[in-house]
Amino acid sequence: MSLFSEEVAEGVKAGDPKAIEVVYTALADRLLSYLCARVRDRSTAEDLMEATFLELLQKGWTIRGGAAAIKVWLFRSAHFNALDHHRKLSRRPEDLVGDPSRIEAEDHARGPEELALAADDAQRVQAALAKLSSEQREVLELRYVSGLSAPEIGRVLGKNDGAVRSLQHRGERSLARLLAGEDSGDTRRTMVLAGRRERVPSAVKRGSTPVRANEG
Amino acid sequence: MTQPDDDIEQAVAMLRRTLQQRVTPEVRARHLGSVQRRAAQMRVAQRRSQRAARRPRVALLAALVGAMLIGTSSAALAASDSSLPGDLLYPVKRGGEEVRLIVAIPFSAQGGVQLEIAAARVHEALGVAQDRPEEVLPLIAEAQAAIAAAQAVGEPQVAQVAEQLRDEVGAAIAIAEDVAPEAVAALPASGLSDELALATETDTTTATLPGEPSRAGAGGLGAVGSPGPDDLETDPITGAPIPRSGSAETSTASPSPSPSPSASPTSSED
Repeated sequence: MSLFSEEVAEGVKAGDPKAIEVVYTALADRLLSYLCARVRDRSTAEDLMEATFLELLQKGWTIRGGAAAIKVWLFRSAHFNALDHHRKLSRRPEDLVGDPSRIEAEDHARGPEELALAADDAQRVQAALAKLSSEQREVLELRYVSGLSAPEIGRVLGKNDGAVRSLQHRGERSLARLLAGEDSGDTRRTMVLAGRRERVPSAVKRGSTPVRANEG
Repeated sequence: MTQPDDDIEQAVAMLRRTLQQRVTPEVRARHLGSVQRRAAQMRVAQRRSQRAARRPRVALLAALVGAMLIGTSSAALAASDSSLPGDLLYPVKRGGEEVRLIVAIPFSAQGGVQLEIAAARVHEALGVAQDRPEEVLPLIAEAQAAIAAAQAVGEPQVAQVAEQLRDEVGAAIAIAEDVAPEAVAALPASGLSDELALATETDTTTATLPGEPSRAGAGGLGAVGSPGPDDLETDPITGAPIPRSGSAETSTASPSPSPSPSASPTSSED
């Protein structure tokens, strides 16, 4: 079932601000969650979301398809806006790991203990996500934060269905391991190799490269 | 090593819980306000571009309409050449004459135009003499005025044109008298004498100016053919004017009025 009617989709393509408002109401939370996960800064995510909806208003006429196509277009636009933001900052999103205060909106309904626990959880999740490959991370964010299906994620990222499912599966397993406090064999091997490099510099000369943990 | 499904479910739930964000009402109002403003700007820009795109089309349309108007005016002017007083195109003809007088440069060129106007009025007088005899004398008066105006600007062709028009003036007056003598008789005496002066003067070197005393017998456009009112006698039976014998004898070179209203005007033109 689609989030909004085909009539609204036609309005979006015609540049009708009322139709854009309906789409905003349906997808704003998911889009903001996705952008927050991408840029790790709520204020920046809000700005990028505004830019994304303005693009939808101006370029909506280029969308071919109905409501589903508009949803994919919106997340794809947000994806590229986040990439542009990273390029401008010339830094990776991992740089901001461990600063959940920049993501969370002020929540006066929760008590201080609850907030502290939530902040701790957020920090653990972000730390775990930072150890995943960028593709796994993005697939998981689109799948579980934005609620897109595998085919929709494929269209957003320009990948086929199988590749998306594979990235999702590996990402889920790695995330579960990391959050459960386990260390994978790959991680252990990386540490061994790193130790060996320190002791035996010739290993580097032979071209053996350390395998990054959780690359699937 | 396979991760237990429970761990994966817990990890996914934790991911969802910690990354889930909600848009605050303030942010929503700000974003939708921006969308509304941008939409308004786009509408203005679209209207401007539509107007800009329409401008060449409007110019083209205006040029076409202008060309059509000029073409239609020229065609109407040409078609109105042979129109007579009371015709649909007659005002166009008169308007065209006014324009020709205005655009006649140098001033002396107005003389030629005035002579053409005089010729047109005389032709019209001849044309309406049968059906609307009451209009003959006013038209001849206009012709006379035009000739006087030509003379005033020193037009050298005045005498020649007056000579050429003399026969037609005489014929027109004769027809009008045949058809409705009362129409001619009803005119004020002074006006009538002026018109007839034009028609009866024999000296072709000058034309009588409007308002000048009549110089009947001294020369004019219609001297050869049209007797003056003093020369006319009334038929006691029909009431139609009959020219006096003395003046009738002098009218040999022009169509003389028929002695009775029953005579055909065409016979006098022969």
